[in-house]
Amino acid sequence: MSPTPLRRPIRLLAAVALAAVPLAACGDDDEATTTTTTTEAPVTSEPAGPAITLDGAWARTSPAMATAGAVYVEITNAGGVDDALVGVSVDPSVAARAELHETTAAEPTDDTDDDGIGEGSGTTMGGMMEMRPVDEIPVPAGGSVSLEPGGYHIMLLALAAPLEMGATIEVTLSFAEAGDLVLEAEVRDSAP
Amino acid sequence: MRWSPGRRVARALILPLLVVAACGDAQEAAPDTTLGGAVRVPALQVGAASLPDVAHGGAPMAMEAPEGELLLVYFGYTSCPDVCPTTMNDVRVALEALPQALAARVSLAMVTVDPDRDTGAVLTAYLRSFFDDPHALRTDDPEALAATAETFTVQWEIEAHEAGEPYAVAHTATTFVVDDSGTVVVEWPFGFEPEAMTADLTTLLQQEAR
Repeated sequence: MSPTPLRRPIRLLAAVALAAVPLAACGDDDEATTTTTTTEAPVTSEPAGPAITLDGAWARTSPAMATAGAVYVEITNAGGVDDALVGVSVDPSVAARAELHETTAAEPTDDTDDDGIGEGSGTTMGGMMEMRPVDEIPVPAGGSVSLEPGGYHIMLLALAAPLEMGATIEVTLSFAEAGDLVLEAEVRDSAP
Repeated sequence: MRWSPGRRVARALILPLLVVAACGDAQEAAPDTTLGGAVRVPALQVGAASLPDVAHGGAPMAMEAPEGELLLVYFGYTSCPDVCPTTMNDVRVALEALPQALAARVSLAMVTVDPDRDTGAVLTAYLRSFFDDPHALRTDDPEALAATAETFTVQWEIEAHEAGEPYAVAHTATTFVVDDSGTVVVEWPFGFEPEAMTADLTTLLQQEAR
């Protein structure tokens, strides 16, 4: 069998040594501190601690009548302190709430329950995917993490309005160390 | 490197493909190695299965393509924020890359594994956001859904939830390519590139034309 083309290449964390220009210093304990960033102008927290850069943010256009949305971004920590994305929020004009989720390949289950909910049986070649909330997404010192289709993502629940191509939505990301950063995500059909 | 979820998924997807390839080696009929997707030996036969197509008045639709054409079958749900719209968009991109004459011979059917939330109107509108004339397959009969899913070896599981609260549905995220005899001729795992889908469709449609 020839190699199967898969979307997700292995990412080399060390290769993401982006220019992390400190544009704003975030207070350690001031949760009201908010930094606005765009893909054009990455913003970091203070250089002594974690230096978080948000890059390539996008939100998927929501199909007609869809109630859920997803936001993706690459988070880089050029600083010397481990950090973690621990929370996410959006204005109610965007969605009722936002959660950190992870899509993973589920282990095929040996279904012997009788809940009647319905599960296929027989041999499986795998391919079952599941999505679950996560408490935090680690962003280690000197490393990066991609929120991307098929992996970590920000799920928007109960969309207030359709996410339409070309629009921009704001999502507030809360980091354990770097505090809150406001992400501006462009609405698109696929990754930029 | 443990923070790269995409890599984990990719590895998990490659494994079953290798298993299928190994199965193929043990059989007399060699898989079509010109295809990028997974070719199962023996091939799944799904033409006997059918579900109501609520995008076309609810008439039963058999899981086979019209003569000389291909039917793409996917099991998912519309409240799925990540996997399903990623796949639907990838398929849309793949079809748009085909010459018009070939694209006209491919149709898509999505089976909802979440009929409670996916009413006929919701499912139909969702699919029409991606495709011109999709088939929206939905049944309120759990046994009919389970029987069809089993034909495709599809599994799903609805997350435990409080009434009225949002929930996720774990599900097989493979796209099945079915020919006019109801045979699954190739399977695309989640994350399969649109360019590779286009290549597989081109190969298969040219074979059908012979």
